[in-house]
Amino acid sequence: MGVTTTPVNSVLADLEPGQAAVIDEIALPTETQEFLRRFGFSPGVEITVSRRAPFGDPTAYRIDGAEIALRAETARHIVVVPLSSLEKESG
Amino acid sequence: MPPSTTTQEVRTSPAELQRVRTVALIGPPNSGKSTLFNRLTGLRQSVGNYPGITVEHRSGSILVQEEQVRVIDLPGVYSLSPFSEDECVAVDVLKGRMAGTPVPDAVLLVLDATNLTRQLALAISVIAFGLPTLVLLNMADLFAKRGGTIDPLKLAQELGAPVALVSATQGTGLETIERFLEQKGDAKEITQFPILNRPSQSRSWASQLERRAGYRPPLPAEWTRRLDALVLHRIWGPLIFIVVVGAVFQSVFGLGQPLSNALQNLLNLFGQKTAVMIAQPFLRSLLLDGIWKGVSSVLIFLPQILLLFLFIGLLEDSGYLARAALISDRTMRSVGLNGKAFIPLLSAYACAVPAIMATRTIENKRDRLATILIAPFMTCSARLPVYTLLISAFIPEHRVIGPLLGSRALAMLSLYVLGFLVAIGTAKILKSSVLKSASIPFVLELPEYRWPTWQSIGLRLLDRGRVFTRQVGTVILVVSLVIWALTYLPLQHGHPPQLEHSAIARIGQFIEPVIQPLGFNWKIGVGLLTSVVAREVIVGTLGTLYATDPSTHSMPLQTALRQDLAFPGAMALLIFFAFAMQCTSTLAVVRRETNSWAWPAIQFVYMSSVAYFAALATNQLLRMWK
Repeated sequence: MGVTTTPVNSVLADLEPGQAAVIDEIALPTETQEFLRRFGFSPGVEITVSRRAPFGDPTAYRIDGAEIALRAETARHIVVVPLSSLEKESG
Repeated sequence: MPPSTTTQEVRTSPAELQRVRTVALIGPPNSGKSTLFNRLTGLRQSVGNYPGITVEHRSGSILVQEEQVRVIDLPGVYSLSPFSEDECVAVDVLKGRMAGTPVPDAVLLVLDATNLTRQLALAISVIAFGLPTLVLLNMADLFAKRGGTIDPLKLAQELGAPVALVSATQGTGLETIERFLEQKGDAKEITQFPILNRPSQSRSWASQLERRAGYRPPLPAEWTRRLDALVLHRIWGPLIFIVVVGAVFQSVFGLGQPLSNALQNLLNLFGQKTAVMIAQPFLRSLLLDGIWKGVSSVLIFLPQILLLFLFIGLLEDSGYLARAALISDRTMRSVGLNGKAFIPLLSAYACAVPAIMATRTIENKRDRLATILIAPFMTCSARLPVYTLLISAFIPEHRVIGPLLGSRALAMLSLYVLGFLVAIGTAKILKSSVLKSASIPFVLELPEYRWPTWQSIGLRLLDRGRVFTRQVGTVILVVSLVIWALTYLPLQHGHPPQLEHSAIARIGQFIEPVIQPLGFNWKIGVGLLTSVVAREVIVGTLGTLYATDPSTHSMPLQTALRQDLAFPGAMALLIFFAFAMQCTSTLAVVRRETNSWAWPAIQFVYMSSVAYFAALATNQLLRMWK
């Protein structure tokens, strides 16, 4: 029980296609955060991994009803709480 | 919770507004804003540039109650915080600070109804300008079909602006726009949104607002999902990519070439029929050899240019171009660029000028500059007249791979590859030295797949065709006339001189020592000089030169060239044109985009040096080998 009280954080780049998560923190400079916010990347937003590009990178994500692709070098800095671990916590 | 919580201050503007005369159209990229603009204005539109900057200024007019209303199509923006040049333009126009652009007295805000959440921050920052604003939730048809719901009245209440569901592609709901524009502007309430000062909370604010407006987002687009599963498949994806790009090339050459030939025959026939009606020798020479030959030899490439823009338009409007960017990102990254550079670089195959303008979609300034600097290496349509002429004159047609690929097509393809490789090499050098950077992340939106509309494609072709013919009509005509005059002067005993004694021959002979190692004689030299204005000009120049030379007067241009130029020199000329920066329009556009003369100067010197030494090597090696 003690293991699941705190949600397990991981980074967006580590999620597999089909996995959903909630953005926890964008660990990038403020200007970059603001830039990403235009596309819907903001803490508290649910995000689903859609698919990877044929050569493995970038990866397309479904966020706020739109399909947005990011490179792993960016997704590596987006801290997320996978939805499965959230469910574990509440259940 | 009453809606007034978001509406802190309501004030009334003092003066009663007159009827709407100028309306600004604003919205994020992929919201269908351009489709709506085309739907509203049709052929009544024009493109220019905002003064001093590079952003395209598109405006048109619509008739409302028999009165013209001017529509200004602002660049697609995600936000009004002035980060990029596009965003600065949008803000300046809305504030009425843009020179030469009338102050809009109303705003049409186009949003994509299918993903509203992230657009609400833009919506309120537009509404907060205080201009009467009509919020258009576009793609209402797709939105409803996929089970999305919203209460437009509630949303209007929350935003303090009228809201209408429309579909620009279907043309539904557009009567609301007319009604909005014909109402003599009442006194307007200016809605203030305190959330605008707290951008970090805008997302949770947007969710709350959506809940109050009864917004239920639609299900993901099933067809787009299925198509992406195929188009972005690990194996099928790259294969489809290659097939699509290959099909574009095949069509441009397989279909464009016969069309060009037909047009050429038509133009020649017209020229000959007209010439016999003119008795005065000076006038006949001026019209036929000066104007007609110069212009028509370039005009015949219009079919190929339009075909290429047709394909780029189809790819872009259907949504495939964004997938192509996603697929090519990995490759583009290896040279320090990103997948978005693929779109401009693909456009550069038609013309570097619009391609360099299209680099605006690249947020990263250094990536953008690098893309601008390498774009002219891509084989643009202006090189096609030169390539086609030289290839059909010097390379005999025979099959290389069955009926699929002939020797001429292979030669053409090699030139494309060569330009591409040098571009990539240049990009790599730039990105690992002066333009090294990695600050702004690469973000690519994959819009839903849509059927391109003929109207949108048609207007784009018209637009590009106009630009091309305007170049033919002005720049090339002027050069053709100057060249003709230089061959006609100085008069000897009241008669035009022999070609060897003309003014142009003297200039050509003067530079001959420099270009002789490349295998070029003075006539080619004259062609190189005049083609600094625009590459295709050399075809017109050579046409004029051979037409005024008695020994080649009656020959077709290809035959005349074969008499005058050896095979190694011809190949060197092809190589020269693959690399040289022979385009005044491109240089002018680079200066504008980089806002300095330094970059176009560096680009010109660099490309000319590469061209000279590559042509020198080609000629010398082929002569040794022969």
